[in-house]
Amino acid sequence: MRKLFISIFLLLPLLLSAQRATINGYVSDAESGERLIGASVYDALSSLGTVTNNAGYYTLTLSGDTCALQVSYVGYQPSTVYAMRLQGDTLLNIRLKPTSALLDEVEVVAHQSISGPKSTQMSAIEVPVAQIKGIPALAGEVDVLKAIQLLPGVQSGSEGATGIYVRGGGPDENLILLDGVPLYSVSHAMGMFSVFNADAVKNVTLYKGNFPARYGSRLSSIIDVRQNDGNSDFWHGNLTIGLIAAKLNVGGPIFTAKQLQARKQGDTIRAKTTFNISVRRSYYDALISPIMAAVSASQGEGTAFGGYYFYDLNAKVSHTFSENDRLSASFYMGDDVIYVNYNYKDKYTYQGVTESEQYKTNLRTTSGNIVAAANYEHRFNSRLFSNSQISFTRYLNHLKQSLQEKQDYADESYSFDQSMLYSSFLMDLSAKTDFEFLPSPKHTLRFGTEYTYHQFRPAINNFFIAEIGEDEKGNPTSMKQDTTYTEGTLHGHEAVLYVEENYTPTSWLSLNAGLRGSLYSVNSKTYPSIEPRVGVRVLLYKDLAFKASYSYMSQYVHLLSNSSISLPTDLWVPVTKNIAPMRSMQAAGGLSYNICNQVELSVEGYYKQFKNLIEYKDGASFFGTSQGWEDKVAIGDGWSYGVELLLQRKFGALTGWVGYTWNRSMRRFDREGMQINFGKPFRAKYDREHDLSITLKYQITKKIDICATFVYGTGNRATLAEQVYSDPEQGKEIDYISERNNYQMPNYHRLDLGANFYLPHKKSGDPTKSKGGWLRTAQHILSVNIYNAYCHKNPYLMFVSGNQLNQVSIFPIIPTLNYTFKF
Amino acid sequence: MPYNGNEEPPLLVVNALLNEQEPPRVYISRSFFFADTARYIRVPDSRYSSGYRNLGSHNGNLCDASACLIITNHHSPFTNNLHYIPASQASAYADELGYYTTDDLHLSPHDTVTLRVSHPLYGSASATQVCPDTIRVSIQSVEITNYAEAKIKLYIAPYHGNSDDVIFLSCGMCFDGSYSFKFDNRSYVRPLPTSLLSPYLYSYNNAFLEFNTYQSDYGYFAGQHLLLPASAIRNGLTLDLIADAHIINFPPTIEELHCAPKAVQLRLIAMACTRDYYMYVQSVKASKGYIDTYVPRLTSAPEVEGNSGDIIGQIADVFSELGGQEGTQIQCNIHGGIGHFCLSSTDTCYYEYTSTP
Repeated sequence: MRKLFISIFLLLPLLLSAQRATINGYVSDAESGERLIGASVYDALSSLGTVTNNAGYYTLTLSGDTCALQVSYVGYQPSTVYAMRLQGDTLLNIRLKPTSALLDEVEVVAHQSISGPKSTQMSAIEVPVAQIKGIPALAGEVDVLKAIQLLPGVQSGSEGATGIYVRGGGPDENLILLDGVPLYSVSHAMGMFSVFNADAVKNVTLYKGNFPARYGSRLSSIIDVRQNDGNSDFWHGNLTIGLIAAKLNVGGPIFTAKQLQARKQGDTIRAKTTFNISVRRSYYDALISPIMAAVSASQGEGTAFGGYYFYDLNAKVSHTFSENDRLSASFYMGDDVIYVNYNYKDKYTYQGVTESEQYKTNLRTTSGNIVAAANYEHRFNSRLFSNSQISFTRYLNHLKQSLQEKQDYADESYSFDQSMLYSSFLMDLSAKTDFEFLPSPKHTLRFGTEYTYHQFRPAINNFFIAEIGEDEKGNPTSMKQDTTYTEGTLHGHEAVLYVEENYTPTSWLSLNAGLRGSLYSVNSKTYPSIEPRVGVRVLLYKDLAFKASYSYMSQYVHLLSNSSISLPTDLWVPVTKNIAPMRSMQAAGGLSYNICNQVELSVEGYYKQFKNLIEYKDGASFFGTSQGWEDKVAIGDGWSYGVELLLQRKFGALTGWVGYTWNRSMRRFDREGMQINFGKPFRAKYDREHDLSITLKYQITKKIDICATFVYGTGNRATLAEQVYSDPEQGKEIDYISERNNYQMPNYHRLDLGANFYLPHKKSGDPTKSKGGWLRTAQHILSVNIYNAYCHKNPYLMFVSGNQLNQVSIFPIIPTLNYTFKF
Repeated sequence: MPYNGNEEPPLLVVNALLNEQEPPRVYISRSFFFADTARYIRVPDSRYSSGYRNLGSHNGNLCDASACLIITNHHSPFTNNLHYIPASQASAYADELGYYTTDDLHLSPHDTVTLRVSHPLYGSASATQVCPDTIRVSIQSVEITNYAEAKIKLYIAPYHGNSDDVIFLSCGMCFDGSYSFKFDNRSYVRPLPTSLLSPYLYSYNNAFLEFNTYQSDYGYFAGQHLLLPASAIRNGLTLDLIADAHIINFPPTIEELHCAPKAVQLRLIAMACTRDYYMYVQSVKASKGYIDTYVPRLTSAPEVEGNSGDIIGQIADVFSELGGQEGTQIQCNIHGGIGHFCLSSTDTCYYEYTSTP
């Protein structure tokens, strides 16, 4: 008994030292205070690691009595190492210093990316915003979605368009989130630019498969875009003037009077409240419209002017109550506007009487989004974290045409007023809450719930006419007609519950299992869905892992579009009694290899099946109306498979990636009464077998960097007549087409080049130390871009006219110059 | 004209719409246009960024094919060989193409008819159809209003043909008033909601030339069609229609609103047609007008009428050229070739009304 007691006493320290301790906290930018999403926190002793979540929060439960933490993030000095003794649960906030000298020697640390060998997650790519900004862009306009199109597994559709086609899926099968809120329209200028102002964006993550259970509602991808919170130390921003648009981004702290007083006395206290505002507007109309008005006025036939512009406004305010509580509110608003105005007035004297005529016509179309969200983050303890959100998103198309005519003559007066209004509208109101719980070192549990109210108003048409005049006998006459046609309002309700567990029983094996349950109810019809998600990672060697996954997804909305480009009249409609939800099942497997902590290599193969896809019947049109849309679509299936390769470098003077995809995508519509291509399988429109993208950026000196992008891909498919024959009864020639999407356009390839020149403002120094300090880190940045440097005529569309096959190309070589003042 | 043996051979093209009342006309030709990319050469003077010219095109009408109709009914199958009528002898109505025909053809409802065509260079093709049943329509009553609107009650006798057949009803109306109304192409035929027995399909497009225009003593008819699935008249059907011709001008003048017509002529055409022909014509129509047509289901419910204005159409005209609207596949039922072979039967009835002063 005594020996037993002594043994226990001697073993007690060992028992105590084997207890667990949870280290948790926030990783943020040392200068601005911005929380960093996806930062790697890795313990070199236990080989356990994690990445920060969307709130910049991490939690890591370790055993043992010491740990050696390595924290890294792209664009920041990666060599921050902490060695500490583990003494119970510890709150540890970490600040990383941005690296301003990419030529500095890069310290090799174990960087864990979202889909690296240490992570169970596969088919996901995090694109650093710094890399996005370095990619040469169309018309010099840096674009988040265009950068995503350069990743393997992602195709762009038409040239210049922001459509995203992921692993054989359609452009409406991508859930694009801004601070966790869905955006239904992400394009400006018919798809040439996206709605994302890169200056307002902090982080972009793309999921192509192995979808975490907290995501759903779309079949093919999740694109999670997070906005900047704002600098908590000093004001900063940048003003950019480019070929297409001007942008202003300003962010900074909002100090209380007490805090301001303390800072004046030399305290380096940071603000608890921060803000960030970004504005972008195109300005061609501002330049051209006055010229149009002046020219038309000089010709004496009235004043005519018009134009097109788009704008985006992003705003975010965050307040940190304590280490455990944080509240933020974010807002986005953006529109595309086309306007045409004509005004004619004339006054003259006839036989001593003043007479006048006035004629006015206006046309204005507006389409765009409004997004608003409020987030509350709460840290219960070192192992339980929650994020709750209420949000609103609205997508509106609005077209108004009006005509006013007024005539005052000596013997009669006449006025006429006519207007036509077309409007379509889609709105979501949502509330959700997500939890992260670490019950033990080997388990990470995520669970949550969400409810969304959807409102669809596909089309409202209003016609108004009012006329006042006189008949032949001089008696006054009047007529008024005001008519509204509507396709009705649809109300949808969506409820979601999910749970997801990541289990790491050993250092070499990690399992992820999730279940997402959803209910969608519209027009007295309810569709339930149970969506399993499974992933496994086997560490074959220190930095080499094999991964496999399976995901089941459901989608309850469809995009009715008449064209392959984004148009203001594209309509979102929900499922109906006759049109069931679309489903997809995806299995993937591959290898992930971290080469010397500098380069990540991944090779993945996937197979995907689609059910209940909709495709337009031959000749169907939805232009501006969803009426009878169920009769215009066919329902069928699809499948796609392929192999992707990604070689990515995020640190050092040379960064970028090489991505290659081999892919096949097929469709089959053979249901009775809904046959397309006579029920035989056919290639999907964007079935492009080979796709190669190379994006590189090299920092030559602190003041100069150069970048290049090369893309090469198999041509898009089109449906063209192979033969023509005459039908005497119809009195016309008829095209003969053997199958849908039978024609492959010429292959697509393009080289873009760019260079950035960084010139410091006259005085430099610590911005917090003296008056005018906000100018002390100011920079002038000159960006030169050449889009399509060797002017290859890539096909935009092909069509047959007479005996000729014609190709239309849109973008020749486009050089642009952008100036940015950064402070 | 022979083709180069290295190329993909052209297809045998057969087009025929037969009815029991007229001699058959079977048009046989070959396809003559190849869109294969290898056959295109770049054209430097193309007004587009680049154009490709096809290396050759040919006229396709064939005069040396063999064609026959095989009729099967309760008697033994009867083979009727067709002979060729050159274009010079074809009637002015038809066209400038020759066709194949026979003088000795008698079709009856429910006969199974097989068309077989062969050519030494382009292979052989065939198609089989069943003759639609005779359709019998009678006008039971007509009521004319001051607003140039006619409410018509008509009766369709029970139909015993194939349930896949398509029934077309077209009601044209022409008024003679103090302003000599002509039938306006915005007029339409629709049933009164109270007598709607089953969902109907409304086609506002002139898919059939025969229903397009008809000249009478009073002016032109330009009717629209009411489509029915044959199953809707399996047991006969009493149908109330409105033929409406009052929207000549918008807004209408006061005289137009209050002038009573002096005479009205109604012409009702009912045609039973094998469904393949309807699908073929709609596909052809859809391929030529991407924006304003679609292929409807035969049991679709009626749509709400309204004056939708032209602004959407104007914008559609512009945007329809963008983003690559693509070709439409045509429904064809010729095995071994392309084209259509269909049968129809037609009934016509008239009604005239003259108001007393």
